[in-house]
Amino acid sequence: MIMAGASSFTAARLVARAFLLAVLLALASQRPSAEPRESIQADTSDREIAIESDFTGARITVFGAVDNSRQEAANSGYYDVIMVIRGPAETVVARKKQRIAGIWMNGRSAAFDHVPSFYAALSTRPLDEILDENALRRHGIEFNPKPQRGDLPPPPDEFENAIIDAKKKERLYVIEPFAVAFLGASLFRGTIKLPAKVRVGTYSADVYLFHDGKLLSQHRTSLFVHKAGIERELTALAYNQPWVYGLLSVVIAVACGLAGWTLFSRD
Amino acid sequence: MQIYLPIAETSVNVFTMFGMGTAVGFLSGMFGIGGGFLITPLLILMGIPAAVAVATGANQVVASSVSGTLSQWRRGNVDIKMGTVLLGGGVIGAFVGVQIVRLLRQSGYIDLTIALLYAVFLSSIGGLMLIESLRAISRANHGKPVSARRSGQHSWVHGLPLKLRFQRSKLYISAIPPFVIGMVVGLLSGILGVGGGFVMVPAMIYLLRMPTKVVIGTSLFQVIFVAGLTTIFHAAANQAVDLLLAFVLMVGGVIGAQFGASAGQRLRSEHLRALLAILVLGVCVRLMVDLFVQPPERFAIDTITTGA
Repeated sequence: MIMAGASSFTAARLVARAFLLAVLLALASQRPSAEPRESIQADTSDREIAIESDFTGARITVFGAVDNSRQEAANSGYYDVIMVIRGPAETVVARKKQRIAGIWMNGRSAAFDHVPSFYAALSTRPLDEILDENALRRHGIEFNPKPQRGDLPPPPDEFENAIIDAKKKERLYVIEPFAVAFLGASLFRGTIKLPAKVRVGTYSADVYLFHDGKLLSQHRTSLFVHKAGIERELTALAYNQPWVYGLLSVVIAVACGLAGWTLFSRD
Repeated sequence: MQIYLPIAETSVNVFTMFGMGTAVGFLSGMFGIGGGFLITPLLILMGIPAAVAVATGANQVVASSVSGTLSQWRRGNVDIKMGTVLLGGGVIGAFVGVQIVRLLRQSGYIDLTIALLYAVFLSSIGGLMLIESLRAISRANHGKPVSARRSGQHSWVHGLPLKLRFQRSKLYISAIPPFVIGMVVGLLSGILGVGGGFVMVPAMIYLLRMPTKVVIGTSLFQVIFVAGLTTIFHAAANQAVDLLLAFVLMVGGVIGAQFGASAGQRLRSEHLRALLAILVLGVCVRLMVDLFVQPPERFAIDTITTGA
């Protein structure tokens, strides 16, 4: 009996010690979070892109820095950075070509709202290595058109994929793993090429900082693409005074015809 | 040298566009066609949005037909009276055509409708012309008279009222057939963005029995106005005329038209008709391939732009 009593006393002391240890450990692990957390600042190389007659596309660099970086060197791979650049939203209709009575024509279609006219996702390594698909979606890192009709299968369906394929061909949908690189312990940058076929309007650049699949910080910056010079004058005239623009087009054509006849007449 | 187009919102090579304008202008001056039915598909092929290609093509056609008409007018080949009657119908037809394009664009069947219309018209006209001109050539080879005008032959057309004397064309006929022909061609012009010369020329040769050389000049003369109005309607309704692109095409077009007119002058008229028939059939074959051969892309993607 005495033996049994002594052993139960020892067991109680052991439990108490283990509890104390657990509390201490918990406190110890809490301590680093009292240190300042990482946060990022980011900006684009150009806040404004002017489209003039020699425009063939533009190169945009998004750069940023991690405050309170715990990374020792540029190549230590401690952080993952994802940059998502989106162009002004538009409405897109995808039509499936079908053969009816031997003739190829447009058949079933699906319309999508809020389709980014330009979409680029740049990262330090492939997106699926950084996060799984659900987590990417949760953080809004996806090309996410909204179907106009609710009865369509959930995306990505064949129509959404068709839109992505068409945009990929025109370099308006770009996924570039390894396009973001750290230049030092905290400084990073990524470069993206906008093709000539970009829409004018406001572009957003979202920069995300991850470690081990956990979002540490997020920063949004934007840039503005607009027409300038003769490109802007002509577009403004075409939309503001369409009849004047039409007449002007014809007058120029007639003048060209006269000039051509005067200068190159073969009579 | 790349140039950014403000309305098409894309960048193209200036020299490619200039070359295309020159080639189409040459054919235009030679055959009396506007050439829009060649320039429009070429522009689409170069990545220009379809609506912009149609409207800008019409604008270029104005320039090359002005250039070609002046050249033909110098040679006494323009029947202004006939051209004016054709034009009366053309204006009404073009306006209706542009409205139809607007309705079709909303339903998304514009590509198919345009392709089908092209195919039907081009194959029948091209086929009939080719047969006739080959017969004429073979008759010429056997030393028989080759004129497409069979004088003294009268059809129901000659029984219609409102008769007018067309001196240049050497005709005394009712104004109704040219007016109706003008209207049909104007309608096509509005829908297809082409001056309609490839329909107008055969109609004048075979239905009105005008001399081929006068047909070319007169066709070009009325194409100026139909294409001009089409340009204005498209600019007003769709904001689809790209002036920068049109200008580059025009510079090539007006030069090409001069060389084309003098080349056409040196050809015999039945040879001219046979060449035009082959050209028309060639365009038709290409369209048929589009309609009946499985397309490489399984989806057509349309972006609804909301203005700039």
